[in-house]
Amino acid sequence: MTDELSIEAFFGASERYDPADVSEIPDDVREDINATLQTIESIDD
Amino acid sequence: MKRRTVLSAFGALAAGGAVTMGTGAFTATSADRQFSVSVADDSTAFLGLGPAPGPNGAYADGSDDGELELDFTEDNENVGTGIAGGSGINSNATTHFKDVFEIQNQGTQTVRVTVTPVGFFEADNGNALLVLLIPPRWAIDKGNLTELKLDVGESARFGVIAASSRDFPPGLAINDELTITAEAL
Repeated sequence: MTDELSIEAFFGASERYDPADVSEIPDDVREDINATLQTIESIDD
Repeated sequence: MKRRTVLSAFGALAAGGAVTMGTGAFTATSADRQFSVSVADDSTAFLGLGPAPGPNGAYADGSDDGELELDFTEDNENVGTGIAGGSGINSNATTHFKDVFEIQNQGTQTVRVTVTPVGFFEADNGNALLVLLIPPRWAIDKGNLTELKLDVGESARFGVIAASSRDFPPGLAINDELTITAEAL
């Protein structure tokens, strides 16, 4: 079971993208996605 | 989805069967038996891959050649049947599609299913288009988002999160492949 769903967890698990590339994701998009992931977590819990 | 992925999954199941057959007491025997193997559509194969039940299953378009394809574009052949229309996700928005596709263990053994990658993105001059495949938490094996453990008959339904930044040029898209493999435990 994952402790927390986050955008970093998804790209880290895939072992496909360089962390430097992932850092290109704009902060507002990152925040929106992480907020959505937290919503999913709360639904599943 | 690459066809070879399904074939490798079938190969793993076949190897397990061979070990079981080796436990008999005969030194040698010979008999002719009919042996049949067929290739099924993704939805009916031992590793079942298909749209999830419900309206968002229409984004998993397997109607062309029987192979699972996630299609959030105007090319999706379910437009007019399961999908009313539209040609893509909104810009400057994050959209969650629950229960888009499912992976079902239709074989005879518990399997570890690996789905990779579970994140895709394109970046362009500070803008980004992202897609995440959301596995069901109950099926995640050992905390790794790419690995699921499915008992016989179990189905794991995946959701999708798609997000685009404000100024992402219209028409740019992600066209990629995901690899799904299964290994008997």
